[in-house]
Amino acid sequence: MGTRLPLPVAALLLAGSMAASAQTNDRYWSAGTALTLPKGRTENGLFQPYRVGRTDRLEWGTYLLLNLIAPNLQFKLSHGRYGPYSVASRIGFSYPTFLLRTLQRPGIGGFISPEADVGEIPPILATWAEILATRVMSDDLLFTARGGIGWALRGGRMDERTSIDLPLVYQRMLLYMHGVQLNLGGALAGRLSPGLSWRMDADLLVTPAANNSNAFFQKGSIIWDRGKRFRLRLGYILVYGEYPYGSQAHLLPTVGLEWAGKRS
Amino acid sequence: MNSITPLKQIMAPLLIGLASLACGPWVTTFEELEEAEYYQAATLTAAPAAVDTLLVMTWNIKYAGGKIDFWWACFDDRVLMTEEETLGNLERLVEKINAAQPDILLLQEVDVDSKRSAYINQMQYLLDHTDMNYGVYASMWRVQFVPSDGLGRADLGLAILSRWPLEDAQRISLALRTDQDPLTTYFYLRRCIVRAGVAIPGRDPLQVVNVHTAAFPQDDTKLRHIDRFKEELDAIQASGDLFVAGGDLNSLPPGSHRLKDFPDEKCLTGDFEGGDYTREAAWLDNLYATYRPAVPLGDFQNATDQSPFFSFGAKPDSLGLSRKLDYLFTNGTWVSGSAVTHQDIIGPGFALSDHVPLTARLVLGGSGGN
Repeated sequence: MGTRLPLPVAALLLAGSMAASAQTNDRYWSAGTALTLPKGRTENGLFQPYRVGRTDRLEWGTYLLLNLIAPNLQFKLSHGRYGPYSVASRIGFSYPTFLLRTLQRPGIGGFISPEADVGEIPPILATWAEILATRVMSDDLLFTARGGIGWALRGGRMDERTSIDLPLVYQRMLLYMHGVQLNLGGALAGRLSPGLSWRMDADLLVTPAANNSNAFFQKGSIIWDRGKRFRLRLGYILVYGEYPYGSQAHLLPTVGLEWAGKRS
Repeated sequence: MNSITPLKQIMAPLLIGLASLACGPWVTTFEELEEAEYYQAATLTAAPAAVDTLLVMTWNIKYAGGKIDFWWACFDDRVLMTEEETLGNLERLVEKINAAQPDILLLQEVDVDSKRSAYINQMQYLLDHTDMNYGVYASMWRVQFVPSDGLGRADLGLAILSRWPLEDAQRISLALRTDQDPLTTYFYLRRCIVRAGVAIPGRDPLQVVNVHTAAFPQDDTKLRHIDRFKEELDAIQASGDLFVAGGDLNSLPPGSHRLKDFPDEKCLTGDFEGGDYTREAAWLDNLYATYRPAVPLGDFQNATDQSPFFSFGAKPDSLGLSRKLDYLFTNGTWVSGSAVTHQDIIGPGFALSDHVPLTARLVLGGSGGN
């Protein structure tokens, strides 16, 4: 499982996920792992989706405010344990067309050229599917491997000049332009003290149909947990990406606030 | 990254990217004086071993925009060229340069890996497709991402190209505009002079100075740029070296018949309004009084029709040329009658740039000034 799981197998696993075995867990803050939220628990964050434990093995989530200009929905389903690994699949949908069209404007704030020659952003339905496998290495150490595929359906031509040449954004917009994108990565999370934990992620993103498209992300963060309901995250993302003008690396700071609640 | 969630593909990275604008070198700022960037053609072409005169060309090539009407000229909405458009226009620029066969080439508005010109390194392209062997480049606008009109990555600058090696190349910063808000100023052009010595076998080094002064300020920035340019020439003159200098001065020669209300002026208000030269009628007087222009001032002032000297048109393919903005000066001597304003690069339905090249033949010998 995990990083050695071929992508077609992951897709099959996803398709058969509804029949998978049940699994419960009592861990909190399960974002980015194969662990699902306990039934009734909700988690939200500054840059995180609002997630709800529908059952002990199924959660759903959405970026609430973003729905106004980019409707989105995602699900994570636990498939139980395979040996030492907890396995889950995630699937999500979004419609970023209005958001991108908002960024396509003249003057300041115009991230995408509004010229007629480039054309209007077409309707885009983006979908992604991912398989996650998490192993509890010890009481204080968690390892997650993941791999996935994203694909985008477009209702018209999307000019390559609509790209946004910002690190992270550029690589990910390639999905909308070229239709298919693959990701492979992993994470280690551990605890330093009762209120302090850490997390390191590394991911590779590939857009097979595009030139100059490979990207590597490495993320690290220190997390301050205030009980089971609130956490503060500070860290960085290192982005090494290929752009049309060459390769570049950027080190960007990150900050996150997350809070949890209960929903009956 | 926790996943490839499409929404995270846009919003979180966008916010992070914007937040990081404050802590990364997203806009390159420059020191007062820096070394310019050196280039070399992929294949060197044999340069003449002994020369008595040099053909010098100056040309604002509008980043190979050809006759495309960009948004800033107010005639259309174009922002980003395709690769095909950019390469096609570069080919036509190269044809003209190769036909003229200059020895020294001063270029303004050269793009390097900019999104609006399909990320092509125009410096390297021009060196690789002409008989020019060496180049130096000084950027006046290097921004990782311009968050306006979809411009994205931009690197625009000035260049000196030569058949012979260039040395001691310097980028000399010019004053920033003071009539813009701080955010616009931060992302706006940081104009400069580029200067280099040309090592011609058997000759003392020839100093070459290239400038592109401010185009649209409503304050005195342009005058400060012109004065700084002359200051640089005065320093060379004082050193006893021979120089050739020029570029796009964005100002009219003394004695121009028309100073405003140009027929091709479309941007009447806003950031790109620059068609009234009334208050700057005498700004080039000192340059003309001190050094020798390629086009003698008398020829221009005494002409009943000054249009054969015009080097700029806002929409030249249909409205023609309207004014002279491009110049060559020396403290040496021009071959009499050698100056040519190459208006053949524009015509009904075609234009290689909104500026036309100016060439003149320089006599290699002593310097003197007027």
